[in-house]
Amino acid sequence: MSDKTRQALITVGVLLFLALPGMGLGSYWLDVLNQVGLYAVLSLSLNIILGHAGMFHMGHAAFFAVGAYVTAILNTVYHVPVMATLPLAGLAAGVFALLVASPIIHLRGDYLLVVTIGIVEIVRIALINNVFGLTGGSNGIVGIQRPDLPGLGRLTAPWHFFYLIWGFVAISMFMFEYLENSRYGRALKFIREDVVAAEGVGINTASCKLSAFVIGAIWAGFTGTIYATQMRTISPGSFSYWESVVLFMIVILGGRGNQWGVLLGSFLVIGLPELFRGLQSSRMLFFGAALVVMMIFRPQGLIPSRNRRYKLPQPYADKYK
Amino acid sequence: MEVFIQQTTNGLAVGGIYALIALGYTMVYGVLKLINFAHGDLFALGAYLGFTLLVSFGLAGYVGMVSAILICSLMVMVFSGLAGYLLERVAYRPLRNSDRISAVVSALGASIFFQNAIMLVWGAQYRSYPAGIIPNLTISFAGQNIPLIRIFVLVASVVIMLILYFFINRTRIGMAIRASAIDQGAARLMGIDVRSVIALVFIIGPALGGLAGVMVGIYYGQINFNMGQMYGLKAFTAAIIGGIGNIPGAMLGGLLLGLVEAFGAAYISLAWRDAITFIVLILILVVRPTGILRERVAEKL
Amino acid sequence: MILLSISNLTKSFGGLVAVGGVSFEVAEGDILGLIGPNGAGKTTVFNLVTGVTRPDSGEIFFAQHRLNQLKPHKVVELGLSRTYQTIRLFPHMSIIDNVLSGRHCRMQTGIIDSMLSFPGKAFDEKNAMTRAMEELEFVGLADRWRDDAGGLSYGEQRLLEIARALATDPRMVVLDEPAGGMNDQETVELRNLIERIRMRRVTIMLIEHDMSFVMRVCNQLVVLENGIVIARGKPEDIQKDPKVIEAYLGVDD
Repeated sequence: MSDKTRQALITVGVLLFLALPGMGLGSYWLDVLNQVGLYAVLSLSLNIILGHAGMFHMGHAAFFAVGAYVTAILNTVYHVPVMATLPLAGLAAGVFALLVASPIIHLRGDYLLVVTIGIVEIVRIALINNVFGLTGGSNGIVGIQRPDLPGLGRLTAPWHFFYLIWGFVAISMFMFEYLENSRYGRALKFIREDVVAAEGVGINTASCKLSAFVIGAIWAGFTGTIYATQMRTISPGSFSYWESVVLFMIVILGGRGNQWGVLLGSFLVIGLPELFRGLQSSRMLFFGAALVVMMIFRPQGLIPSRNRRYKLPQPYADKYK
Repeated sequence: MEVFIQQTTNGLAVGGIYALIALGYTMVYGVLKLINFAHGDLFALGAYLGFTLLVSFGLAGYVGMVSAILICSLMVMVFSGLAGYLLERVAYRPLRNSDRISAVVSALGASIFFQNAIMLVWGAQYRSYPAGIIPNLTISFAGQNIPLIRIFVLVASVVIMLILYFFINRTRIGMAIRASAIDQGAARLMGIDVRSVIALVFIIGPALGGLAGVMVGIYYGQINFNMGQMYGLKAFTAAIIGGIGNIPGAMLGGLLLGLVEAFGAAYISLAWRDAITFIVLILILVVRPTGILRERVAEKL
Repeated sequence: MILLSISNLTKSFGGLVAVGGVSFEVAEGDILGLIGPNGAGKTTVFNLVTGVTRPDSGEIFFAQHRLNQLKPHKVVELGLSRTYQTIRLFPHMSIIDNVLSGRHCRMQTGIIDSMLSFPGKAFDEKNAMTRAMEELEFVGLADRWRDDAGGLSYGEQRLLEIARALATDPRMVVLDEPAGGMNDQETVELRNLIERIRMRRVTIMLIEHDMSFVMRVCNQLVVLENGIVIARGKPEDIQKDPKVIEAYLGVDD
């Protein structure tokens, strides 16, 4: 398949997908797609940390929670318009990531994994214990407003959110793609391959790793805002260890380091079980086994990440075809 | 004083349970340098197998309570050990020559699988162990009434740890395990069958973990399908405290963590008890990654 | 002019003294060979100089900068880059990616610039690629720029590591056993390459076991034994030094 046909197919696919709400898809399925979209953004942002930089981060739900709670508190207590809280949610999650990640990023893979699980649990326990008297304990926060978009009015129907969420997915994918194809994205891959060698060729590995955490967290924070305003109610249960496990699984199964793989992973892990409602309760059993099988037969995931392809500048482009 | 003594005994009893689970983490880590993420779920499996034997099967009705507990413990150890062996065969052995990341993910997948399998088989609701397995008596100590069950749990775990300690330090097989932990290549050259050693630690560890599961059922009376996750993390913390890979360290770390938790819950806040454990875990990994002894975990740059 | 100066450098590992008070200088334009029997502490000196390990005491100055507490990436930024005795490439990445890793510290684009794909980024990338291809042509691997680094032969991987080190615009490169694993033909080419590196006004320090190689390539030698310098000077003088002869005859080398 040539690059042109591939691009054409992707374009047609995206257009068809965007036309779905107009083609009479019921609100139930739109809600499912919205959920897939939210998980997709979260997984794409986790992909920067886990996929590109290769850091075993199992605490992404904590950053997501910070974003959602910042929006919920600012909106319900201080009556800040929901969409205005978006940058603040991202910022708060980013700062939180900076604080918790800087002491731990030097830890080896599996230890980082355990520590990040610990962080998610601490955040969840803090939320349940109504920390600062603002998080509403185990009942969480209710009555978050729907978002108002300038010029478009209030978003209420599932199809409104469909475009909000998938628009966000698209923007994120573009920005992450640019990031991946930059000196910085390349640096993360060097770190994943061999952190000692990366440091030895002049890459500030500690700062690169930390930035990966912060960018991922900022995006998780943004997603928290959208989630809070879509659900209108949030509680600690939505930000558990299991949410982090699901995100982790999406990235690993789909293909760490490959955005399309991660997108596919989101559809498989979140969307597919909806098609087989009877098997809903055993979906995690299935995916757990799938992780094991995958590691044995196809550890790089369904759509593995590829080496970046370059277009050489002249005169080299003609010289080395 | 009253709170102090009650919490000390309680902390030691719970700590003994943590230590039993921690041994599984530390033994596997010692030989394979792999965190067996599914270990906590094998512990939960043990609790449920015990539940099935004691409640569904009504073992005590046939042989009396004391023998029931003994038989139940033995059978649970056998089955949990078997599950551990199968886990190693299916999920870890095929990845022996892959990169670390694959092995860690596979372990995680196995953990998710076990946890959900338990939920599907036994249900998502809490299950209760029969009341009064250990007579509901108290023993007077330093002017305080200590529940007999606490003493029982503590003594049982200490005895088992001592047996393991002697097994590891005084027998040929134990020596093979220690040698494999120090240097697999050298152990292989010395004629030690490292493969069997690995299989063995995957039997012993989960057997002890499963037994700890039964003890939790007896001690708290209630079990839940996702208990493996929380206990697993805590036991892992215990192993880290003691220096992962270090067997006496895991025992010590378990008891210490039990005490820290009990006092934290009593003197700081019950609601924050679990958070305290995780803060300890993070602090140790950040500040003193070697634990009380050995094994550096921070990546060397 | 003195480019690198090492004085009284010591480092022990768990009571074992690897480097016990080493002092020497490397002048700009030198090709200095660090030689000595196995376990003499040569690689430890390299690791100390490049920031991989921290010295217990002593001073390392490079172009007026004190290197003692600097992390490896800082040392590279100051203009001192290296290769490894056990090759440390990024084997699953393309050859050009490997060289580009060396350009990282000389590139400008920040994270936000790249996420928004500002025009400066394309310019930065294009320059980096041009420089990377220059280095690949310099070591003779340019026509294979697309291939995975792991697919190269042993000797070629050593060349790629040199290209990567040169891509950082160094004032000095330290090469840890550059001829290790190379056949005769490749060794001759390497000698030629090192001479060409010197002509680019890059100072070179290298560790090498192949004595005829060292004698032909280097203009200065420092001989280490058991963590201390036992001799230093020009190759022809070192060859006659009784202490050096003893050190080398004392081991089966």
